[in-house]
Amino acid sequence: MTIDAIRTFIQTELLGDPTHVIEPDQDLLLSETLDSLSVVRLVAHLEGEVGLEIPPQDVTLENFATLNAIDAYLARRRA
Amino acid sequence: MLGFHVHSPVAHFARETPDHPAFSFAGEEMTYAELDAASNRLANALVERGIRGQDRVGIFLRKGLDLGVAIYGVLKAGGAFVPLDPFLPTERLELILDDCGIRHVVSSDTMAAALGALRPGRELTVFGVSGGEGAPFEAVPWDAVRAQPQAPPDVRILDLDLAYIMYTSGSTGVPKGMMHCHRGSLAYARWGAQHVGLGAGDRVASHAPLHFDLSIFDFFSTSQVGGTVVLVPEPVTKFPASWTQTIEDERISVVFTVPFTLIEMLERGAMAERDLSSLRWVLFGGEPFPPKHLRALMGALPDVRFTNVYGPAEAPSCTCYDVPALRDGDEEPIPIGTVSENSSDLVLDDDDAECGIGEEGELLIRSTTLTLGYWNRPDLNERVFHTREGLGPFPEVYFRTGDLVVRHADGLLRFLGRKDRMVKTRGHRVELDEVEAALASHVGVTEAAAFVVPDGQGSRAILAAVTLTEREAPDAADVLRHARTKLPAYAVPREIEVRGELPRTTSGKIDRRRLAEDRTTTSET
Repeated sequence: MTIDAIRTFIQTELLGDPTHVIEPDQDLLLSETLDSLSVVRLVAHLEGEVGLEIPPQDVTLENFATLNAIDAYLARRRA
Repeated sequence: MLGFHVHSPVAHFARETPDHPAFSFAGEEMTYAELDAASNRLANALVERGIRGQDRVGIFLRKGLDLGVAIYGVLKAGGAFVPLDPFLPTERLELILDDCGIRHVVSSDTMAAALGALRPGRELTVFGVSGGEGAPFEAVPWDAVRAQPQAPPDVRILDLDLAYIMYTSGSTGVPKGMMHCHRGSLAYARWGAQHVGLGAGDRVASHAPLHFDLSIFDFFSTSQVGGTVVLVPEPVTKFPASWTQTIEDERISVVFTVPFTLIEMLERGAMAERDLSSLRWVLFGGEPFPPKHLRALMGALPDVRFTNVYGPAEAPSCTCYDVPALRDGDEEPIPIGTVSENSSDLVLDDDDAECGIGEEGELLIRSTTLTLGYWNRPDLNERVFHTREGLGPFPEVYFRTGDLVVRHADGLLRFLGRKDRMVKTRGHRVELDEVEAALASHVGVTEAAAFVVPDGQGSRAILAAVTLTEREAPDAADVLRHARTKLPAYAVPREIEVRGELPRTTSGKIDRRRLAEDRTTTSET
């Protein structure tokens, strides 16, 4: 799943606003872009798309703070 | 002796235990001696810039060590601090600045973008920012603050004076500010410290944001005993597994939060992977805790005590209930318990007659902790206080909570719901009228109806339906964007549905109950 696909999901499904600008290194949480329930929906979506189970202990600030962090986490899991 | 003011413990513990941490944030600590010196310097800078007794000073900061300096600096200058949600949309921030007559704000460079967006023309001095050309305020950087003398300013402060004003959702679309004095705040802080038996060794989480009244316990109950406040970074609060990691790493011993946070922690906090043995007491409040989740959490943390704390921010912690072991299958709502020490209650019916056991009525509270009233809102102040003749010239004053309760034969109060249209979502107070007012302020919206549905997480989600004008035809995303500029994030509806017309009751009112039922049924099928 590409960064663009993750961004599109966040924009359309979580924010309901396809025009909302999200930079790859923008802190998704600090700007209140996402709340904790959005994180849950994002994780469920990623699991479905990538076919990986993401255990709760992996759903942390380090792995999900930015689009780049999510991308790096998924890459590590696939490796 | 600790003195008469909310800030008195800082100087006291700077003398008694100067090297003990007052605050901890992301691996860094600030000792009581450092906090005392830094807050004195800020107080001097504020006084030099014209702060006089009971002037309101905004605090516009994220969690960080400068937050403690800001709070105590304002109080030591004789000012009243006004927490400003660091994530507020600009327009709402301006509403509060103007309503409260705030001319001084303590902030930091990380908030520069939000401050820069303020409309110019307001008399405003901001401490803690470097400023720069063209900023719509005068900047006083931390360097200038640090050059101030370390001795506290000589100002006269009574414990009857204003200590803070906390803004909350108001039904007319304008947030309302609750005034609290030093004496009331101290009564609340001392109640909390005593109930939990806080000590200097306790590490109390500051999980809720400053503009949420749980923070008064976090900051001031802890300083009463010279304990340590562990400031939890905002992003951590959105990741249950990071939050439990923080409890482990920071050896947090006491937490006061909303049920929503605790349910998330239970479901996604990887609790089995964490060492949570430092935790000894969990207080929760803000909304009802579904018993099945609470029972599971108590099972997962068998050595921890749990207390249900009830009280609107106007009358904080007015009742509480120490939760005993919950029986399997018992789904009775958790009682809000009995009125707290040093407070008294009344349960009144619609004619202000006292209700008996088993009779439903509104809860009223008399306590030192009560708000002094709403800032600049004589209309509300007229309504929310109930007075009874006292022994001398002053009446006994009760606050009308607006909450319906019933007292059972066991003496315990049960919460039944609100008298008006205020709802709680994940612990935040939201006036649905205000949400509707924000949606209806979009040029393309004719009518708006906000309502709540269960969110499947033990709390409630706000949804809305709108009808549109013929000329403008915004889509739901457009209305949602508009709502985000008007409302705090937690009050923005999760979804907005565009409808041809809204369902009506027989009396012609918008049928919000039916809107909610429609949505609940759809999500179940």
